[in-house]
Parts: sequence; C-alpha cells; structure tokens
Amino acid sequence: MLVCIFMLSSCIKDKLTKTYTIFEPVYRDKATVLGEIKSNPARSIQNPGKIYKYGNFIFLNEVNKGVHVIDNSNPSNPLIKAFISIPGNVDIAVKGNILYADLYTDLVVINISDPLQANLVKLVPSIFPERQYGNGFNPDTTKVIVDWIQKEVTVRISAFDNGGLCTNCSVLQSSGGSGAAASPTIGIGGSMARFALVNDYLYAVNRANLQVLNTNNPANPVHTATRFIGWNIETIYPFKQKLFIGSSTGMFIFNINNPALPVNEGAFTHARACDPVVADDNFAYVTLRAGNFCQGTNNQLDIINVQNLPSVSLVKTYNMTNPFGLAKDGNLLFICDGKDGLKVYDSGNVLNLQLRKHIKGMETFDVIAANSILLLVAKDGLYQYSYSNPDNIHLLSKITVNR
Amino acid sequence: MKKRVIINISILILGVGLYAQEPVKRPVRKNNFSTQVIAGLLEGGEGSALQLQTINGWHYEKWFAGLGTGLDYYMFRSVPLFISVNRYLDPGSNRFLIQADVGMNIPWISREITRFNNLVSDDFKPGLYWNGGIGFSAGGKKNNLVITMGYSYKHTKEIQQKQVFCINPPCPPSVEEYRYYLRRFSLRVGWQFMSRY
Repeated sequence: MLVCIFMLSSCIKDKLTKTYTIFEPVYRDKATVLGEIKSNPARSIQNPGKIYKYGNFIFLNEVNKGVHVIDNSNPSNPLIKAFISIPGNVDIAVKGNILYADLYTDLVVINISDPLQANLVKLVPSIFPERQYGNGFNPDTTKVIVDWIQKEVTVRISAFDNGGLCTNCSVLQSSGGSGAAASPTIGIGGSMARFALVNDYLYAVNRANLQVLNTNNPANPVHTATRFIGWNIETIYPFKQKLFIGSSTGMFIFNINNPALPVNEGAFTHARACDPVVADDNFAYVTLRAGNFCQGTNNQLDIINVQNLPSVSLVKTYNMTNPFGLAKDGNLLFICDGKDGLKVYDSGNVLNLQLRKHIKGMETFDVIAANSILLLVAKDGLYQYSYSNPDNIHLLSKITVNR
Repeated sequence: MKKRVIINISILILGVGLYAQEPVKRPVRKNNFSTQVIAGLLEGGEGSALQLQTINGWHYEKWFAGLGTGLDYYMFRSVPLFISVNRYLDPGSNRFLIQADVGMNIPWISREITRFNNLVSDDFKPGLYWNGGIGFSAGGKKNNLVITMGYSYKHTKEIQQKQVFCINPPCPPSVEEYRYYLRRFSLRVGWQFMSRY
C-alpha cells in the first residue's frame, strides 16, 4: 500500500494561488502635464502627504498628485483655495514667491506670487534620478505617469513562492515637505521633508545623495553640486549652519558654512529604522520607527548630544509606539507617534522628558510647530492646534480627508 | 496517466484484499463508544508528511460516527476538526469499511516577521478539510487495528500585509492573499478502543 501511495502521489497536484493588486500607469503627454501646472479649482484632500507653511498659506502635498493651497489666515477656519496639479509630487518647499516641487525625476519651479494664480516658471530635469519608474514602466521623456489604475490579479504560484514578490512597488514614493529655516522669505516644513531651504540654497536628498541648488534667483535655481551621503537617505532638517540628514541606519550632520559645498561633520549610527530628525543648539531628536520598509525593530526617540561635533553621543532613549515626524518649539517637543496619536513633551531636561499632553484617536504622521500653531497631518485630515498655553493645547480646526 | 492510476488502484485493492483473507466472525457492535488513535502518512506533490488523529464516537450496527481532531503536517502544521463517518461493509471482526471525514482545517502556523520579508502582519484563516477512503478493520471485541487509505484535502487562506518602500506617510500596506488547496493521498493506521455504552 505504501508503494501505491508513493506511486499515486505523483498524479495529484496542489494548487496555490496568490491574489495581489497591480497598478497600471496612465500616461499623458509631458507638454500637456506641464501646461496644467497651475492653480486649478480646489479639490478635497484624499491622501495627504507633507506640509509646508508659508505666511498665511499652507501647502499640503496630495501624494503623487500635486499640492493643495490652503488659505490659513484664520487657523480656526482654513480654506482650501486651489490645487496645483503636479504628477509624482511628494516634496515641496517655498522661498519668496516661488514653490519648488518634485515631478518624479524633475524639479519644477512655480510662481506663487498669487497662490491662486500659480504658474510654471522652470523645470530642472533629472534632480531625482531614483524617481524614474521601474517595474517595466519606462515612459519616454515625452510622457508622464499621471495616474494608476488599480487591478486585482490572481495567479497560480509554486509552493512557498509567497514571500518575495513586491506588489504596489510601482508606486515608488520618495520626497515630501521641507525643513525648518530662519529666513523670513522661506517657509517652514515638517521633519519628514526631503527638501530644505537655507538662505540662497535648496538642499534636496534622494536615496543616496544630497543635491545642492543655488536659489539666489529663486525663479531660476541652478544645480551646483551632488554629494554622496550613503544609502536609504530619508529626511533632511536644517538648523542654523547645519543639515541633519536621517537615513535608515543613522543620522548625518553636514556643515554648510560653505553653502555650496556641504561638508560631512559627524554621524550617529543606530539600528536599522526610519528616522526623521529635528535639532536645536545642543541636541538632535531622532525618532526610530520599525515594522515597515524601514525594517528594524526599534520604536523609540533617541536624544543625541551634538554640542561637540564631530563627536556625537547618545544621551537617552525613550520608548515610543510607532513614531513618525516630530517638531520642536522652545522646550515643547511634539512627536507624531503613529496610531498612538500626538505626544507633547517638555524637553527642558532631556534626561527626563515630561509628557505634557497626549492626544489620541488619530494616526499622526508629520507636524510643524511655529508661532504657537501646530499643523498636524494625520491619516484622517489636517489638524491645527493652538499651544500658546502649553497647559491648554486645544484644537482649532480640522480639514477632513475625503477618501 | 489514467492507465497508471487504474493499475495502482487495482494493486491497492488487491493488497487490501489479501490482507483480509481470513474473516473472523464477531457479533455486530451496538452502541459502543469508541476511540481511535491514528498515525498516518500524507503523500502529495509537496512530499511526505505526518498526520496524527484521534476520533471519538459511537458505533451503531454497521455505522460509526464521531468527532475527530489531530495534527496535520502537510506543507504547514494545521489542526483538522471534523466529523467522521464509517460504514462497515460486513458484520465480522475483520471487515472492510468506507470512511468519510469532513470539517475545518485550522492552521497552526505563524510566519516570522523579519527585516527581509517586509511583513507587517500575517494571518492564516481556517478552511475546508475532508478525507475519503477505504480501509480494513481487524481485531477482537475491544480493540481493533484499523488501516485506511484515501484521498485528503485541506484548504487555507493566508493574508499577508507588507510594507513597500514608502517614506511619505500615510503608507498603506500592500495586501497579498494566498490560497492553498492541498491534495494528498493518506495512509492511516489506527488502534480502536471500544467500550460498551
């Protein structure tokens, strides 16, 4: 019987199927796409990305689609005024009357002297070469992917062939908002940003490099340098004459005393995780996030002493749930802790952070804190809080996501 | 292929027939509670695997019905939970039987979430389990040796949530659904304990 069993077993086959989602690109002529980079009628927020604050306006990225222009003259009643269509856009920065945004591999320069009548001024090609779509989608230079059609696909697979295929990879996302800076003509970005404006220079990080663009003439940025940093670069945060660059394996500090040629001044290596960073004169605050593409297993806040560069040292680690972006204003440290909401700490004593407020009930991603108004991007919308009285942090408004 | 299957089945039936040649007469069982402890071999496209089962139920004349559970290691570990029905073909102690099991296959497996597979979560769902076969029971009044051979099926659905490259939150995970339809031949050898109820 045993022999029969073995002989018969070759007659039957197991069946294994895999169902996954694929995205088919929708192409449009590039000239048409560039022609549509202007203020279009306002539309609802569906998939909010990075934020940038400039004067009374908030620029909110709609991931891979463009930028919402929000009139925030009254933070208690923000109004979505226009939408600038920029396919492939995930990062933005504003200097003077100019909005810089990525359009897949290219940088577009948009005049927003009247944000409701924005128009394209210039296109700087190939600043973000890693944003070229792979996965078999290789539009020529005359075409741009403007949308994706989602389809469910079921295929037969062999046994155990169920770990390596990467669906949704067609949506390669990279950059986002921008870093905080001091110049009055420059806006403020969140800590998840990959653009940073400092005086006359725009710094943009891609997967491995720091790109330097001279914006002395804001409408005509000139690419001046590319500095290799390392792989899996994620965020950039400017503070005074330093750039704090987060990667999945550590934090790099670049000196921009010569703004055209940033110099690597120090680094702090940590376990593999995603790590937005903000800083002040003495310390860098790095959130490490696990459980996603960032890999690793750490969910924590690291506080790093950066007073004696190039020497840096870990001061203390605080456990978090799944932290994303963070912001600091004075002694108040705001941390987006993913599904655990927003945490507000008093960071007067970095060895003993005091939790002053914990706002739950939303999945938070990025935050900007300035002028006592907190701009918070969460999965379900854009929130604004007043923290003029840290003991009474309260909600001013919310623009709800309409998925 | 058809020819080969027919030949193989013929050899099997002949084999079981030879084993069963000296029938010993025994009174028909009535309302006996019985416990079967079974070890078996599962053989399919993915190779060989062990199965262990226990079935507890009642005999009534030529019928037996009970509830069964156990461990099934074919491709991945799972726990079948099933109703088992046997129909004996003759009243003797040594007798042929037809067996049918149907129930749920409950996966008992967890995939490791590592830095290499980008898994956020992994969830195995229960599916159908069934088994059909023929066999032979031999032994005395209280204990029997039961040998069955049949065809067995188990199904499971696995839902994987993976994180793909995305540093611009919110980052929805990619969802992949795997369905396993596993077909095997099964050879089971069990020991049946009976007690009057």
